[in-house]
Amino acid sequence: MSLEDRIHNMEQCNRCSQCKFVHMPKSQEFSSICPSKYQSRFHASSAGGQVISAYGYHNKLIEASPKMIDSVFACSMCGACETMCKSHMGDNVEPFDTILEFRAQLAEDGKVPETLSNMVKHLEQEGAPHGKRDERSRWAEGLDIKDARKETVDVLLHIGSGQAYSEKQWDNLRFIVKLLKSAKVDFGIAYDSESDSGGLAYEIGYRSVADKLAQEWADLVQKSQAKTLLAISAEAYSAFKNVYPRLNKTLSSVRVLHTTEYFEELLQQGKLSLGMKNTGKVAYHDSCRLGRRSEEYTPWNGEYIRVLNTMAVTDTPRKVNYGNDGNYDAPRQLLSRVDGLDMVELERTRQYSFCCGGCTGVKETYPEMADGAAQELLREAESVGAEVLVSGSSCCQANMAAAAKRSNSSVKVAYLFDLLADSIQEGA
Amino acid sequence: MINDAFPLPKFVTFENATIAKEFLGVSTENSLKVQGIARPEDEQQVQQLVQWANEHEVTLVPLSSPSGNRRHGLAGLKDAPFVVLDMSKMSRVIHADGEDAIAIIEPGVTFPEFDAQLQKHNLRSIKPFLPRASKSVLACYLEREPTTLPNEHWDSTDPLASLSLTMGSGESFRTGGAALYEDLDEALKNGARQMMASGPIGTDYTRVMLGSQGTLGVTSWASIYCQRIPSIEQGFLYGAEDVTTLISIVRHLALHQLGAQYFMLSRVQLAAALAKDSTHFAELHQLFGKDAMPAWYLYVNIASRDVLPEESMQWQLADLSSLVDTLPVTTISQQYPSYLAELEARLSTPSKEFYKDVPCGTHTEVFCITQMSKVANLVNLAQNLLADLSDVQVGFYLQPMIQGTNCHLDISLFHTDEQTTQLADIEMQLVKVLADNGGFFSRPYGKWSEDAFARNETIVPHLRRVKDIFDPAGILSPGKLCY
Amino acid sequence: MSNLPPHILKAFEAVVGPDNVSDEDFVVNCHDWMGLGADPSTRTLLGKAPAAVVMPGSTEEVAGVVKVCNQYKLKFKAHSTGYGNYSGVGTKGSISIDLCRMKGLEIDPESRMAIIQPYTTAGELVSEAHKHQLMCHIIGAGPIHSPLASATSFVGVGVAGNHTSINSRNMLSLEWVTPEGEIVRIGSSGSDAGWFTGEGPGPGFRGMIRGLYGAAGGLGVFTKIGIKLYPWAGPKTLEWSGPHPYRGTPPPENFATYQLDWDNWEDATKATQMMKNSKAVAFINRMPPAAVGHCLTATNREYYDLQRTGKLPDIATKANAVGWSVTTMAWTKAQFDWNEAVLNKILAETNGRKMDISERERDILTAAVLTSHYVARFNRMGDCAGVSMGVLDSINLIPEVVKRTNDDIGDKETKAGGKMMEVDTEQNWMWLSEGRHFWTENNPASTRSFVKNIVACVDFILSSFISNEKKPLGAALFVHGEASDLFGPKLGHPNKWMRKVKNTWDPNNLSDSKHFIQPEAAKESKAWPIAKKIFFHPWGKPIFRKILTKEFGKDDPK
Repeated sequence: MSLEDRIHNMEQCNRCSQCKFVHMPKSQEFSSICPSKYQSRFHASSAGGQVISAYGYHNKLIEASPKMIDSVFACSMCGACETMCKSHMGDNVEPFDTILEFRAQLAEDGKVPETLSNMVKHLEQEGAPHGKRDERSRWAEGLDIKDARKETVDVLLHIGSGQAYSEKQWDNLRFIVKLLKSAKVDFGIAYDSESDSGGLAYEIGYRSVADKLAQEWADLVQKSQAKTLLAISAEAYSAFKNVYPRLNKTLSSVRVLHTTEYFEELLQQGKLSLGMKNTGKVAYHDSCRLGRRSEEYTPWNGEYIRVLNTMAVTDTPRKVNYGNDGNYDAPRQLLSRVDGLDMVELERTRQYSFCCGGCTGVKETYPEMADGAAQELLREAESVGAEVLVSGSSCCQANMAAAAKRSNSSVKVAYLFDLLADSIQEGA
Repeated sequence: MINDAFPLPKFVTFENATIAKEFLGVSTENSLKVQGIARPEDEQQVQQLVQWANEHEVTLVPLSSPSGNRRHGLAGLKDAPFVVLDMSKMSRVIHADGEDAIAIIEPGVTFPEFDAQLQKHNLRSIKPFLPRASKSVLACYLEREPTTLPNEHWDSTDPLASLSLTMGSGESFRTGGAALYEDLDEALKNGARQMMASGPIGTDYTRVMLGSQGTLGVTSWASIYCQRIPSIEQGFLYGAEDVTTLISIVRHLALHQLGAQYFMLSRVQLAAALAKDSTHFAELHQLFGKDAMPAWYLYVNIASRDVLPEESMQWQLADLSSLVDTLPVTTISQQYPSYLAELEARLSTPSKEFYKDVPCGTHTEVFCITQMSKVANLVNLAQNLLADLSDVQVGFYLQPMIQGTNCHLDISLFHTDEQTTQLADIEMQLVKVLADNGGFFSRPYGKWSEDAFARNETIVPHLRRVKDIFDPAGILSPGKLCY
Repeated sequence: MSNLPPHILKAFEAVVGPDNVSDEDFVVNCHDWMGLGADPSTRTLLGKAPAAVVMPGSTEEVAGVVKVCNQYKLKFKAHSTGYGNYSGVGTKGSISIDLCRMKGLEIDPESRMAIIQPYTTAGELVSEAHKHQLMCHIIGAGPIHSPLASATSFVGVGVAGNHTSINSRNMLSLEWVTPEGEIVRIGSSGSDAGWFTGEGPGPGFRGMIRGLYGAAGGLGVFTKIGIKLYPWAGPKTLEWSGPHPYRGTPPPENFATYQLDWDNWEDATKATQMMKNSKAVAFINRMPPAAVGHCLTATNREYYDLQRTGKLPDIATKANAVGWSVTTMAWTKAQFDWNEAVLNKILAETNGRKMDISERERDILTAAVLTSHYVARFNRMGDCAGVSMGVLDSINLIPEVVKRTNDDIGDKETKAGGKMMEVDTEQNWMWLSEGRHFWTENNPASTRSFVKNIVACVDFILSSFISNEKKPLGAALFVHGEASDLFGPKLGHPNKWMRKVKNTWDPNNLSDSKHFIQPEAAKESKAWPIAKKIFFHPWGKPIFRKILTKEFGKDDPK
């Protein structure tokens, strides 16, 4: 796939602007769906705008100025634009795929912000955007977790760079380990051999780095003989399901599950139970990586043909992603099992969720953008009377919690497993 | 008298100033500098006349009603010679279509004449509140007079659709659907009904002409929306001490799209509406006081729909009752059915004399439009201002407009001829109080216009540009509005 | 980067702040993207990008921007949500005034109206209005369009029009920045009385600057309006069913949606008059069957697979050639029952029937009419719409209108091998308006990608204008821009008056829209009466198509 291959789709954009708005908003205040357009305001920052920029760049009508590069990379690749575009245009445009190719082209042309290219260099060298490879498993010291490189395990955990290197997150990781042990799960980790999934490198546009990281991990998974790949980070979960197929990497030997799904299974099987928790009103935020971006991607290499005289259709049927098959229910079911938890829904939920803006290096490169998107979510939580905003993604939680601190928000931001920590119990 | 030097048109009936003054309803001693009266009989003559007026720099004041008080028609005119353009001789109902509920009429058609023709098509006219029998239908609509059917009032141009115009420049122009065919007969034969007010293309001059008080163009015919006559209808007259109670019913009528005609009246206004003469007005006034009749009244007429009419009445009445039964209102129509019957008779059959002149011989009025949410406050402010007036009865008429988006507030001071001068000051005070508090004088007659344009000075140069486009020589009704 | 001198950019920055001005290529080209059928061309980037995009945040800033444009004799055009290329500038190097920072919305439920700014979308307005038992008119572009733009500047019709009118008629008071940069409030807001009426004092001035079609940016910038809302008997938040993008709206309590069908348009017309006069049906809309098919499917491939295997539901085939989608709305159960009874009686008396539709189909049809959401799917099947006539005249003209559209399109273009999308019925979208008249536009889908298809569309559009000139069946609404000079003479020369308006209020010709009258008539318009006779004669048509092919071929990169 390349930008050239996307020309047909780019030319299908009729600049309707649905990529900027929720399918049908419940209020004016929370009608936006695109964090970058919401903040920069120029159409160029929207998916439709990026499609036009990509088209112009490809056809050498638009130069890659520093501002254009910033506009492209200030996007957190949440995929909301694509889901919304499909409200009307089906698979005609698929702006997200064009944006991926645009970034790949810019990366090839050396037009990536330095912060991001440095992150990718680090990914290539250390397997993580920040931190050293030999420190990746420091969090697991003394926990006596099986080494999946040496022993076979039923369940292989992928920790993810965000949590592995953030001491603040280690309690959560240890809690998850404790739960797995309580439920008598045969699990292991790859210690310092675990690398980033490759999703970040792919989304920034560095295909070869992404390919290398993904291949390494796919090989390791294969070798481990695990039956289940348990992703703790939402970003890795999304990469396994949505990016790996784009890279032709197969994880077919394992079930890929996110911790929310897996623990819901354990609860259903009676291997764990949830007790009482009084937290006040809780709203769950659908992280894009756990939600619409975790929908399994099915590659398609066909062509568009003209039928019925003029209408363009794919020459063979293809599976089109609409964002419906993200991991939306498991986190909610988990929360609903807690006695006394008063849950309330945000206005924008599930595939219509507003991204917190923290992913794909945006937090590191354009912190004000990440903060702005997170502040919008905090306002949304306040508007529905939530006291706690829960995320199933530690990355989203960290971004939103920092934003809440900066704005002295009345809303507390919690990581889902942190919230469950003193509620979850062993056995039925 | 026509001066020897005055150029007389040859192509149209033209009569002298004495006859013109008679037409205007003023005495021969009146100081109006009227030079004569021209009576065109068709559109071609209108156009020739306007071109003639341009050529000879003659001022024309178009008037459409065949007779009656020309209160608004003459208000604000410059103290300069003019010729009356009497459009009342053009009085054909050209066409009516019962299925599409639309008709085409000329300016001289009055409500009784119009209704007589419409009845053959199971239609009736959409009327303002109690027009006099000699009032031109078209003149009412061209002045944006509110009608009593607010739910059928989609836009301020209603019930007018297309116009056939002669601009002040002498050029002809047809608006909306009327522009599609040059030949009206051919249009009608082909099934075209001139139902569209706006257009053609980038124009919407029906809207521009409305409210222009005859300063921009002269209408030769127009298409008019009418009401299909319901097979069943039932009127109600509700009374309440507080007007806000009735306003809450009005909101319900607008939201649920119930009712055909509805409007609100104060007690004095109801008496004026029912009075046959001044004695009767005094009697009613006294009787209302003796019977401790409520201060405010809502008339609403529930009309059946075309299909399953009986059943349509049932749910409409039930819906209305579901609200009314919860409010502190008196059903006057039950207590005093004769008042309802008399009011309905007057609503359907215009009287010779304008109802506002019946109680005391003449009246002073001030009206503006506002919002339903503001009208009660405006009523209150007006009542306070007028509280000390002696020997003058004050009535209020509140007419919801544009499906409840607007409300026309009409305040009448019923008095004798002798009191007219002494009430001039209070009239302008009232204008100011209303305008200061959310009343909008969209139809500013005579001296009201000074206040109205002072409040929006920025629009004045733009309106003057409009005048320059349509009536560059300024021959139509100079002095009115800001012209 | 544009060639705009730095001191001019600085002047704009001084008005709106440096973050709100850009002359970057990637920004300005986003305002030059081919959208719909506005500028027929095979190109997508049209080569007439603005010199800069400027984003004012208030009316005063808009006026400031326009004054800078006047100072430096720069053309400009307002841009609201920017649906399609009608929002693009007319001339390369203009200033695109992007109004996205102006998104005020205030509902006044007691007066059944709202006050909005340019970037308030219809979706936002309707969602807020529902909370007060009200709804707004939503044009075919759907919930993402700007109601202010549609009310002030561009057409304004939509499928719910029987209940919600036309946005030009829904507009109340308005705020206008003239082409010379003066702020003018028209109607009640001009006297600080509120935003509830656009007329007065005296004449309805807005009729000078907002005609039937709208000036489409050719007469300054509109910054705030009062807009009328309509009764809504449904819930405060619309309920949705089905997975995205097959989401539909289950008819709320006391609502019902049906697809009605008749054997011929004569019977259907009789029924339509009865429905109109009974007022039992709030929304009466007809999407042509192919468009229904696109509403019900998520992709073109899905539509095509169903079509070629004969599995499209009946409502998306010629089995539904003559019919309406109707939605009734009631405040009480009794009214609902009456609506049902009336509808059944009308059907019985006119040989009509309710088609069998699934719940999903019903919900999608309901969503289409209540929110106009899926009307825009029309653009999925073809991006170069041919649009012919709009009517707003007697319902009794419907049979003749349908026949006319079939005649205009000819018997080949929409059959297999034709140059427009293959369909089995005409492509009339029709709906009732204000319980009075009806609207229709004929939208055969095609594609912009090939010259031969654009040529067929242009030929069809002009042919339908010409046939409507010979025997009008209502207004040919999409006559605009330079076409005003071609078709104006038969309409009593509105082009002459429009030109006076343009030259009076925009003396420097800076308000830059190709969709409004130009200060001077194009030379071609003088030759048009003869050219029309030659090129639209059966013998002349091939020559005309050849000329068009050559003309559009210049743009064709293929």
